[in-house]
Amino acid sequence: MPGMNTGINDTNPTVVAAFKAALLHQGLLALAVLVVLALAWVSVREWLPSARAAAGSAGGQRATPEAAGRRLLRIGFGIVWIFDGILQAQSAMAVGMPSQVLQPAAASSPTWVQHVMNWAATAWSYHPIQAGAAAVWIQVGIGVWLVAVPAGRLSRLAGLVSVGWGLVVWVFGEAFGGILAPGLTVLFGAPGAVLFYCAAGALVALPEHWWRRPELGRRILAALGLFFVGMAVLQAWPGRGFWQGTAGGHAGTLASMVAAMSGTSQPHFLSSLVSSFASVATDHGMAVNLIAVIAIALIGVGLIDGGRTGRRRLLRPAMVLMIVFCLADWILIEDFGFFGGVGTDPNSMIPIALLGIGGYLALTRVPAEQTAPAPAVTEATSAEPAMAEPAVAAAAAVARDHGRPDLRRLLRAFGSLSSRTLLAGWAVVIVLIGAAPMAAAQTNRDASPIIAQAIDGSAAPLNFRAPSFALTDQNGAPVSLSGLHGKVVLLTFLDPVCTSDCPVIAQEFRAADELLGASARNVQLVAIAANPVYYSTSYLRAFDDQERLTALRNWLFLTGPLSALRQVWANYSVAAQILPAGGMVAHSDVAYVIDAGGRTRTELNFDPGPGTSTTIASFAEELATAARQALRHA
Amino acid sequence: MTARPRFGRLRGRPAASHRTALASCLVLAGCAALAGCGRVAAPGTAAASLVPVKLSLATSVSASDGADWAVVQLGTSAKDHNNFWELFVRPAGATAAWKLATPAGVASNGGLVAAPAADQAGRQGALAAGFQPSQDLTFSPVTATTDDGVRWSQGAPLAPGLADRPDALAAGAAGRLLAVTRAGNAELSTNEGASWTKLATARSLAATAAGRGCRPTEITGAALTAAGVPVLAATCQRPGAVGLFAQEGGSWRLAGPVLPAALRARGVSVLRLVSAQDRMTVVLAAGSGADAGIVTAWLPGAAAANGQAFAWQVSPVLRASPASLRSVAVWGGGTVGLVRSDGRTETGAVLARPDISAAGARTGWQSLRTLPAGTQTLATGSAGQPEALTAAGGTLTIWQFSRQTGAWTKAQTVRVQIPYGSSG
Repeated sequence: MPGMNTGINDTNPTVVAAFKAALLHQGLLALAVLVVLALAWVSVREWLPSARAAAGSAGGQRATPEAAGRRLLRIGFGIVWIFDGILQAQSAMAVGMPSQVLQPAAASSPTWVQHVMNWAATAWSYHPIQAGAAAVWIQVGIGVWLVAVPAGRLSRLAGLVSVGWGLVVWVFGEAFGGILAPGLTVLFGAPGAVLFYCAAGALVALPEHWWRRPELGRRILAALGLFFVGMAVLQAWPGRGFWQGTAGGHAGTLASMVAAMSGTSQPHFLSSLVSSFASVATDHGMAVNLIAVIAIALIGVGLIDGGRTGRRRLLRPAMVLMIVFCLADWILIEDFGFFGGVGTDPNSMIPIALLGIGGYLALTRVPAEQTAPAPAVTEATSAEPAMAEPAVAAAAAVARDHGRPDLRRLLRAFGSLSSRTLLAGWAVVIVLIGAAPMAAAQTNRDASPIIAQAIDGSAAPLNFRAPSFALTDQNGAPVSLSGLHGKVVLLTFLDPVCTSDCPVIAQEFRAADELLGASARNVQLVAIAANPVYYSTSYLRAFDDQERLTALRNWLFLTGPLSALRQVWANYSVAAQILPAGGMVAHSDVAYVIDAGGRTRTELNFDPGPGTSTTIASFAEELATAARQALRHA
Repeated sequence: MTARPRFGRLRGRPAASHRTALASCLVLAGCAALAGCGRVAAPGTAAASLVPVKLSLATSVSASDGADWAVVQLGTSAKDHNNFWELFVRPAGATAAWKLATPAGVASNGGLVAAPAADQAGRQGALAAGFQPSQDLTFSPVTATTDDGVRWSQGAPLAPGLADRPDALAAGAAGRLLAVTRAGNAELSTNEGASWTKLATARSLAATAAGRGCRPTEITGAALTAAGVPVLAATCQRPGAVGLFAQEGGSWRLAGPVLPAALRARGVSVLRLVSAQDRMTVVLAAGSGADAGIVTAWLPGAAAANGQAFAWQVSPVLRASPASLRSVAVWGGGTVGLVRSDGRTETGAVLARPDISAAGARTGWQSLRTLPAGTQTLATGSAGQPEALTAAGGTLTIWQFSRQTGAWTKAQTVRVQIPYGSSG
């Protein structure tokens, strides 16, 4: 798929440096926001004691403890989201995400899934810095949000946001968790780790009183049990390659998956461990699968029974088995899920275990909601008389504020916020810090020039008279540089029988012309033949047809006698060397931007790199930007 | 208040168990659907009556001046565009040696085809060469030489590019070129490739009276007789039909040889169609499996030049599976050399050129039980003995076969400075 791969190295230093700089800037911004919020909050509370008192009285109104199951899911998945966000900050993520994560996820999925994934991958690879940073901050923000706010609408909203972002990741990052691809197995994370994040987020978003009754826990366990039974059936299904350690001289499905995991970059002892298990799976494929099927089925049956009856007799052993199974799978098969430089999450086993334990804890009936006995007043009067004063003062202040300017009321409201609410607000800001630049980038469909700069470095600004030339175009009409004065000239040198770079450069010129829009009428695209053997007009026209350049009214492909061409090549420091034995002509990949007055303004090293759709778009953007600058000189 | 975990009360609602059963059914149905997603369809089992033969571009030919030409792939990985197809020439003469003659100026990674001119009048030693498209290049540069590759002149590009067949390009008298393109068209040039016009397609051939006797699906090769008559090789759907079409008087007629009885009514592939020196040579494969066979047929140049009926002389049948064929070379005006491979070792066979001017002259296939490892194609030595051409990296090695000892001996090594990385 064209957008899946930028074609440049994941650890390209230019992109990595830009990614780190963006993360640093945004991190500092997030920190500054936190400091400002905290200072403002403290200051307001000092300045308006009534606000602090109001906060104290508000806090005293709630005494219901959070259900243990909800707390586990909220904090557990909050930490997992933060961990995922940190993983997204790995240096290889900005470039590697489309090629190392999205492409493999989509590879074996149906074509329509690949199209969906390609759209996402293209969006990412066109704006790798913004996308990479957005993923970091959105996930860290959701995690902080979940952890910081234990109850109330803000807490439930955090759950909903978790569901929303989780679905985005599940669809565009995991190709629907691979459920439409062959080889689906729970052992390797089906139906997608992030789908469990969504489930947990949805549970956190439920009204809190639901958590006070054991029915919710039973439903969670029953649903999880059904999931396990289904996965056991899938694992046992014949013809999917899981029963064979080897097939046709190759490792079976499970063994080959595990062996592939052991090949990722990780500590040696881990790769040895996983590799050993791959050997066991190869030698005893049937036994390993039999054990897996039985274990998954037993867990499922136990959870379903626990969910239906609420009895512990089967549920407890099933829970123990589930935790052991999840840990064993996580270590031996999923290989912790996050090694290799582009691991995005710890895979599915930790989320599954959290969900199961959360459901188990939710079986506990939580006492009905209690209203605390007006702590600010009663406690103040009995134990801490001094505390009564702020509460009274707060009530008085509220009465005084009635009819006062809005600013003071706003400040008082701000000062009365709890520290957790403040933290939730900061989490929202963190999410916005990542999401806003990405959203802004998405409104611009042009690729970032960072990829082009990563390949060839930055453009060199110049200011000297461009060497003249007088040649003929692809149709035999004479063309000279002086005759093009009044227009910005984008000049390059192309071999018409070139098999790699020149067609790509031509596409970059064509794309730049589109980017220029109406301005293109003041820009002339010019290529000069750079092959000392094949330079006749018939070859130039064949090249134009091949690259669909004939439709461009401002496209000229120039040639002339070999002596004239050699002179132009020398004037522009372009090499065009014949290589022996079937080698392509070696020539310089360069582009010049010549302003309307005939002065060279920019020299672009235009070796196009791998020629992916992303690099073409990125180079085109760089070229169009240089052309716009030259137009401004005019 | 600290809450201790305890289990909720059981509310034994019958509907709950029904829902669970329903959910279980849904889960099982979903699993079945998902498992079905993962199943791999069994390959088709229908037996094809005609085994498609994919010959390598590696081959050798002889030009009218007696020079021998060979196309061999050197270098390393084609995936990395570090394979380089090279053209070698051994000028006429008993003491001449093979030397590199690849035309310069264009990458040869996609392939190279060489076509000696079937020219009875002048232009001795003329040879046309065409480059296969590769990577982003979609048309074929075409070039020609008359001095054994010392100088090359460029014709116009052929778009779309040459078909991936060793007989995709043919050269004839008076600067005539005939080409088969990737689009399946036969294109004719009468001005040494300065311009091309469409001559035929498989569909247009099928629409002719001759085409109905063949039902052609694909044009696979082209040749020009010494008189300049275009001959096209095609794959016929009709069993027993030999897909050779000759254009005469503006219309096409089937011009193939009559196959031996042992091969009649079988699917026929035209493996090679070469017109050089004083004759046209066609190598055919018929049938599949144990009943398959390979035959060669020769047509005297004079007969074709004079517009006479195509009176072919047909060789004995070589019982061999066409699927094992890797290279078919035609040199010395009709001698045929086959390279076969089972994936591990190569074997060969040579069919000597018969003296077809002598009535009733016979020839037979000579088996070469072993070939040097990695033999890409066979050629003919200056004394007429078979030669095997092998390549490793940038080195071409020519091995000569001794009929007396039955052994191969290294005769020449050509080291080529391969421009690795120039096309990536």
